[in-house]
Amino acid sequence: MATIIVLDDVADAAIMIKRILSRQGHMVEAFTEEQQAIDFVRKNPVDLAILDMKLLKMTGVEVLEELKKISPSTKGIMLTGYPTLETAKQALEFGAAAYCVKPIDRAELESTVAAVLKA
Amino acid sequence: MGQLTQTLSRWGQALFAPAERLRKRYEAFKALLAADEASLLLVAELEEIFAGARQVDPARTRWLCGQLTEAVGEVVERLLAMHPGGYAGLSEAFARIRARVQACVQARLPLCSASPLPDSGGPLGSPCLSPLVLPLAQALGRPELAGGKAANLAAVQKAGLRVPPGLVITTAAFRAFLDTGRLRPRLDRLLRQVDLSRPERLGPLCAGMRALVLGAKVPEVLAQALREAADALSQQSSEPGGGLLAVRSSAVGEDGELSFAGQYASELNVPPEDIVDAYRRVVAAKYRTRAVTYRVRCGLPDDGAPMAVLLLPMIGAASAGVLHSSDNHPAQAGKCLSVFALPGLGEALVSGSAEPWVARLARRLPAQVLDVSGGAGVGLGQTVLSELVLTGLVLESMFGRPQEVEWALDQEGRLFVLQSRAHSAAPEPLPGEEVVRPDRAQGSCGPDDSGEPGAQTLAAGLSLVAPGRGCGPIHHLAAEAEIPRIPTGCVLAVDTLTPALARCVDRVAAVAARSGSRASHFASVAREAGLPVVSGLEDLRARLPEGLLVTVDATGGRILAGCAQALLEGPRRRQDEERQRLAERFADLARQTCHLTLTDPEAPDFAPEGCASLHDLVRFCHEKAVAEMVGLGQAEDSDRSGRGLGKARRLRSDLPLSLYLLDLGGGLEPTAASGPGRVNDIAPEGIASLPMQALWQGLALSGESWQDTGLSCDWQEFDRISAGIFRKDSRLLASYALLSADYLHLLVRFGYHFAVLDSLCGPRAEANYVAFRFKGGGGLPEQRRLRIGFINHVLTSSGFVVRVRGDMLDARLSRAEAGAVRRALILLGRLLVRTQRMDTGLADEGQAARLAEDFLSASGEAP
Repeated sequence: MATIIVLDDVADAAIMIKRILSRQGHMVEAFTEEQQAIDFVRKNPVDLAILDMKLLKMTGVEVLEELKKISPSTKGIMLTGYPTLETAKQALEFGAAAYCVKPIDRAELESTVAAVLKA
Repeated sequence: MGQLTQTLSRWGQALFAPAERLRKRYEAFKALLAADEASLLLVAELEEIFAGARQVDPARTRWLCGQLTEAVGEVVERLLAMHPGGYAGLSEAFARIRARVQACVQARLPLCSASPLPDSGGPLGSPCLSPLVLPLAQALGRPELAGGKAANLAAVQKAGLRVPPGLVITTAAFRAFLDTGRLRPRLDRLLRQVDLSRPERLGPLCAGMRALVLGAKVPEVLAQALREAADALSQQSSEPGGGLLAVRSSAVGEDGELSFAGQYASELNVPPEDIVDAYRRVVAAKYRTRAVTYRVRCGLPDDGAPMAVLLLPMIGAASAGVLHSSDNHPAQAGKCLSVFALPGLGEALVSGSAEPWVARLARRLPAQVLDVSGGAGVGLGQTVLSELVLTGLVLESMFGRPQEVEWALDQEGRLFVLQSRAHSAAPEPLPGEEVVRPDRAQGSCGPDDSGEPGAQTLAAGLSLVAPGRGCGPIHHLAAEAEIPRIPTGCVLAVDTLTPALARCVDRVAAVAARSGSRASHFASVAREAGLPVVSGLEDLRARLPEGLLVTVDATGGRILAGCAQALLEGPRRRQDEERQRLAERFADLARQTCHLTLTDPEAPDFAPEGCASLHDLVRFCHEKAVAEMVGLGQAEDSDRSGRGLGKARRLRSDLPLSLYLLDLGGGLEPTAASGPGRVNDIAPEGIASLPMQALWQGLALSGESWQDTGLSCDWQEFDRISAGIFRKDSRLLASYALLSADYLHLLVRFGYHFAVLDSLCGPRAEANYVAFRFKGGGGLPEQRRLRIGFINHVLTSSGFVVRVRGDMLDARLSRAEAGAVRRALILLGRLLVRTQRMDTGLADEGQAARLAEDFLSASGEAP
């Protein structure tokens, strides 16, 4: 089982994802503040970060860039409610393992996490 | 009614010449009857349309409302002519209801209210207000000007996806084209004859409309604009001498809430110099049978769906196809994205004639293929697949719902989006719908692999094209030309899923095809209509013999022998939804036209102010006109004494019947008919009219027993809703007959309306006829329906031609010799007595049929 962080400026969204993935046996931490999430990765080994594109102070891609500097092996799944060519391109360039669109149903989330962790 | 008018005119001249005032009044009455007849026929047809029994072009509905308004205006005018200065408030009531009907009819055309062409000031209006040509980017958010397809494509471009450079020939150009050729009124004349319940007439009507468009002149200013647009696009091509063009329909309403998938036309590889003809052809395709059918089914008026045209340069495609942004994966939980592709241009895919390469992909980036099936010759790399996934996700997010996207990949590997429209999702299955238990098929008892005892699986593993289940006998479609003759309720077996099949989606229970994919245009239309469709049945003809009763379980990808009651739930639900949709669509218009609220002539609101609909006005005027004619109005208003014909005489008999006779000449015995100062009543022996004698025999001397007051039901309530003819003392509820030696016009009064009998019974068989109308009546709708069924049964068995529309029955016996007319009238006399007794008694159709047989087996001669 993996250690996963979820970062979304909407607390309910982060907690919902945490609940789904915890049930699969993963260790999940949910955050709404960018800095707290980055600090957590600094102190703990993390397999996967699920990042919303639109955050309070930074973009999800900027957070991904920071995390990769701290922990290159941490994988990233980007979530967005407003997919665009630019954000998709950016996310993949900065090493995101997957770019998904919200709303995402439970089965899609589970299969995406499984596929990314397996890769 | 024409014959009646002629007859009455003849008698009218002879009778009332001495009393000019009475003669005029009588003429007005005749004209009122004719307009009343016309009004009720129009009401009956509108009721059928509102109830979904007929699907007609909105042009017809509008036209019928106009005709009805006119006919009712005539009824009102004639009543006022019968009693100048009377009926205060009647003209105002008519004006009020007419205005509401007009408002309703116009409000039903919301899409054309934004007409960019001013009504006057030259055929093309001001070019800056209503451009003939728009760059694609300016089509954004202007579907009323650019059509749905172009507006959507502009949005795709705005989202940063690659689309070909395009120019839009606007709806303003379309209107200018129609105006120049004065096509609108000519098209409307044909459109108002469009009735989907008469599919055999559709083809010729639509061909007529296309011929109008193809034969019309494109105004020079538009032709010039078309040539300039075509040249501009052509010259952007790298091809030597300029590139070829795609000319695509972009109608208002297309690719919006309704898809119109494949109903209109696109022309590919058009040389720029052919642009004017191509434009005309694409506009003409608006009147293809399938497009008109689709539009009428959706209730959209023709002028609410004007045709813009999108000009695009041809893409030299290496491969092309369709993608569905959000599909259900059959094997996995969650949604997936499906890509359908063919080498070259994608036309063979959407026309349903080729099996594509199909890939299902996870809805995320980078692309992950879940599974692949089908055709060879297409290899889409990881980069292209990722681009397609992103395209699907971006467009779904932007439009806010799943999308069907047409795409093409050019020789350099660049992905172009050609079109995007909403993808009709499969409806959620109802609880319990998963259980399929067809009845044991006839003659088959072999083991089956479906796991259900008794169900023989004829085919399994078929491709789901549109979900659902349907049941019916197999019908093989021999040729496209045979589509109008497809029997209702069949399971249609076809080779390919051509878009022309859209014409029959309302008539068939399911479709089974040899080939054709979910990405075809017809699949979109079928999903919208909730019609189950499967494909991939190679040996279709061998496995599904003509006439075999089968159940198509499209959701489960299989065909089973036999049929089961439980499976009919789906189609029934579709019908219920359709009825509900129609009821909502027509609620307002029905209230202003057909609804009858004025039912009780003795109620205080039986007045012009109480009229809420055109039907109410007809009812009111007819009631009052009859009262005027038979002089019954005198009781209400002493000033009016003498206004009535004053010659109506009451028939004296022991029957509980209040009937007034008005002799037009030779209808009563001279001794009985003359003699001033006599008591006004007349005995039945005084009747000299041949048809009235026959009717009287049926009414009084045939052994039919009359209703008396010893009923077990509440008499007052019964009397309120039942036949007024049978109430002895109410003059307002009396019936009357106009008589001559060989003529009878009888109005038998019922609580709601009338039975009308009109007959000529003379020596010339050619001129003789019996016309009988039975309309409405009181009682519950079900009882009314059963009673109409009883009458229909009796009269059809007796040689009448019968037509039932709503709760109105019309029966006619024509060109019969006098003996046959006499027998028919005796029968009708008996029928009037018998149906009077039947008002409250009918329980079901079986009982109605048995009673009809009993009735027919009795002789009708005096006992």
